[in-house]
Amino acid sequence: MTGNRTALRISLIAIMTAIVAVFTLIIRIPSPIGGYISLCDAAVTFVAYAFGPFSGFIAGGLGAAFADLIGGFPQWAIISFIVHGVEALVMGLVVRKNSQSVAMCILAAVLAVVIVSGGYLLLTTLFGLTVFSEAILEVPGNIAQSAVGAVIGLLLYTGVRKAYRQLDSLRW
Amino acid sequence: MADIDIDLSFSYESGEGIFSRFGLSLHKGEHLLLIASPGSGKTTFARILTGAIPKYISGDLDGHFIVDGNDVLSLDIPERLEIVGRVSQNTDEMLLFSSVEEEISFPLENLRLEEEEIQKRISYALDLFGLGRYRNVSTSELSGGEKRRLMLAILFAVNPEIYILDEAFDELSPEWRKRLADIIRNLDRTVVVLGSHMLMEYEGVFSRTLSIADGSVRPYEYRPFAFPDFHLSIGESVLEADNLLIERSHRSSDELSSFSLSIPHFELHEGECIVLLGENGSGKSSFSRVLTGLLKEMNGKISIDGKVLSAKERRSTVAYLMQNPYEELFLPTARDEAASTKASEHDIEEAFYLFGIDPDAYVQELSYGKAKMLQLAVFYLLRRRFVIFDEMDSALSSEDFASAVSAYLDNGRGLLAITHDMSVAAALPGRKLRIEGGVLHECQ
Amino acid sequence: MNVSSYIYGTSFYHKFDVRPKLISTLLFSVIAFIMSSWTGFALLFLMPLVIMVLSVGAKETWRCYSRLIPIFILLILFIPLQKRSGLPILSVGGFVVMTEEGLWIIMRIIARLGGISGALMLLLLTERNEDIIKGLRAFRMPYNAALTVSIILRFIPYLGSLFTEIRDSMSLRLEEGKHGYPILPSITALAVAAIKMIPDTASSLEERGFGRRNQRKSIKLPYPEGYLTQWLIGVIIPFSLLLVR
Repeated sequence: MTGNRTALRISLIAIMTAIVAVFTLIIRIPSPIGGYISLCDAAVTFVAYAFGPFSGFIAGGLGAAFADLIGGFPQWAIISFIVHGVEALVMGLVVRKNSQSVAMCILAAVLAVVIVSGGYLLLTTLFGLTVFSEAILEVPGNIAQSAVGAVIGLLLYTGVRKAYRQLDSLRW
Repeated sequence: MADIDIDLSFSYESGEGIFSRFGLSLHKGEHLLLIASPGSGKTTFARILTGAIPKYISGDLDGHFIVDGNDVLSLDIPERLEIVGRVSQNTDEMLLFSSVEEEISFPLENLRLEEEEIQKRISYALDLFGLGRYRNVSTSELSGGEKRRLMLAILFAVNPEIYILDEAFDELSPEWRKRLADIIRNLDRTVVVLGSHMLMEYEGVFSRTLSIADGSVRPYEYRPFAFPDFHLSIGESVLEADNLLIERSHRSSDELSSFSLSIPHFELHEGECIVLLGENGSGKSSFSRVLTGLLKEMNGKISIDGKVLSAKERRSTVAYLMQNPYEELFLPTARDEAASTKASEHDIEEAFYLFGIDPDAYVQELSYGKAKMLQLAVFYLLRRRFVIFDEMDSALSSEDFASAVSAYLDNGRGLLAITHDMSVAAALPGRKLRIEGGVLHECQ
Repeated sequence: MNVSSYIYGTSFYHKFDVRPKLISTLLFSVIAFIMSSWTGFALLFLMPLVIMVLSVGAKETWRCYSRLIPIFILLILFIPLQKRSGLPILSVGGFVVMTEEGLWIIMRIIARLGGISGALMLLLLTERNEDIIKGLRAFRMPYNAALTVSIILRFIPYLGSLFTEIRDSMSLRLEEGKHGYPILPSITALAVAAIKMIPDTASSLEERGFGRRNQRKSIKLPYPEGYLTQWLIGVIIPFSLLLVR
């Protein structure tokens, strides 16, 4: 693909943002400990692996923010943008295209869990939208969700790459 | 010398050769029909002319596409806007925005037309294709036929020198097919229509008809395809629906009426073939979804051999081959898809042969028509007793469609075939049903 | 799935132009962080609520605010315990249930969370998504960013319904007697379908003239009657909160 790539970048960001939002809003897996697990982090992980840190940051962050706006919690949109954007950015930086070793994948997953659980705790308290004692309640759920997400995201990436051979040619 | 001269050689990155010296000359204002079987390169041809190939789908392209002495292939895609435009076979891949109005005004804004001219063209094109009242409606709520008409309206609003319609008659009801044929007949632009088989609506519209074979343009020989005599051996088992009421509502606009469909009685025997006709949006697909258990009925009951079945139970008894084949194919290769049905190796080989499938082909790289053949093979292997074909004839050659119908009927499946093509309807054996005014009834 | 929260109406807030509305929403959200008086908390919470009732009705307002109730309950349950050192205002059998400081903190957070949520929801309820994008473009949001947002809004409901289709057709291929659908293959199929649309969408953009030389990228929004008055009201109301800070 040669020539002006602006149209391709716009399409990539838009469609991956939509994927993150749809995974967050629609696809819910019943959790063994009750309630549901959203696949937001799985989509963020997938975008980071497939398209790298920059696309991951924008699409991951925007997708989570759009899910909040549409899902009826617009007040969390900015926080979600930062948390999931940074999550994808860091994962994308760790698993560079040519060094996707098992150790790197585990490191990326651990960092994702730390960023998501710590990020929400820190930012919701910092923005004064809750208090520490309430925010800390959300931590175990966020840890579980981002850890499951990191694993599913990697499986998803492997599966997609097998079915769609041109995946790497879209990366920039 | 002709006004438009095309000479193309092309092969995909995978090495698969498509065209070798594909030559075509056209006069301005000429209407040309190109009929060729699925996988022969019709869509590739359309994409090369607009520039989608080789920019977005890589390959090795050689040759020229000369309009008024200039080689269009040397122009970047957006600069071709006023020269050539296409309506793609899969409309979903071309939609960009949430509302009908945004969709149609986008190219007009890009042409830098005056606001007044933009509004004039939007109203003209939407009215031409009966979409005037859909202007502020969300594109996600349009039916397949309506989306097709929207894509046509966009092309007519832009009004380029050359119109390329890739299977644009697909999904349109017989009435709209006739209207589109009339519109093309009166259009003084160059039009190239790409199709997989002859439709009776094409008559009197085109000055020439050509075909593609082995990567080059060939003269088209009209061989009126005679559907074989299908042998029906009606079995014992029967799918029945009684006093069925189906309702669906549109959300985004009050202007769109919600619809309801009532089916006093319907029965389909094993080995029987029934044709189902009806306008766009009349509820043919909704009826199919209810029969197959994907949509809940408002009222009534559906039974097999007298035993009432729940929606979930119906899903594994009634197969539904949707219009868009990609929605039913999920695995990397054709072989993976076939293996997922748990059929025996022998049966899989037979199905590949019967439906002309390359086992190693990647599903996502198949053309639309080829994907339909694979969809047919998968459901053939699943051995459901009852099968619904939703416009299965549209992107296939008549031969392929006829052999698929034979394969299913010979195996004793009960077949409900939805079609917009009256000649297909006439050629298929068995009863004809029509949905009209919200009621399903027998055709006389 | 519906990505638009817009509810058709002819109220004064619907008639408010999107530009002053965006600024007003922004100012209100910022000022929400510096309020620190009982009157201020009350106004912060009630202002969007009252406007919402007036513009979209009580039923819709309840639908929006009811989502916040579980969050409020959690806050109430957890905050007073933390502030035992404050002045007790309610105690049961020698056990301090609520302190003045605890109540103050709860009210501040509830007012802030409720006020900001209310203001944002109000914006989404009374403006169509495409009009919000136009408004942002009038404030110099880059053309390509606005275009990206428009495409996102088309793809969220599309991919949502595609997932339903995929899940349904997966269930059609199950063996007899099995129910449900396999999750990983379904989401993989959805991701593949979405990625396959990236080059198609890019091509569709360009085939419809995106990236032409001299492409029009500016936007001209008309100025409605009373535009200046709307600006004044849109700025004065959030700033007036500062009087009771």
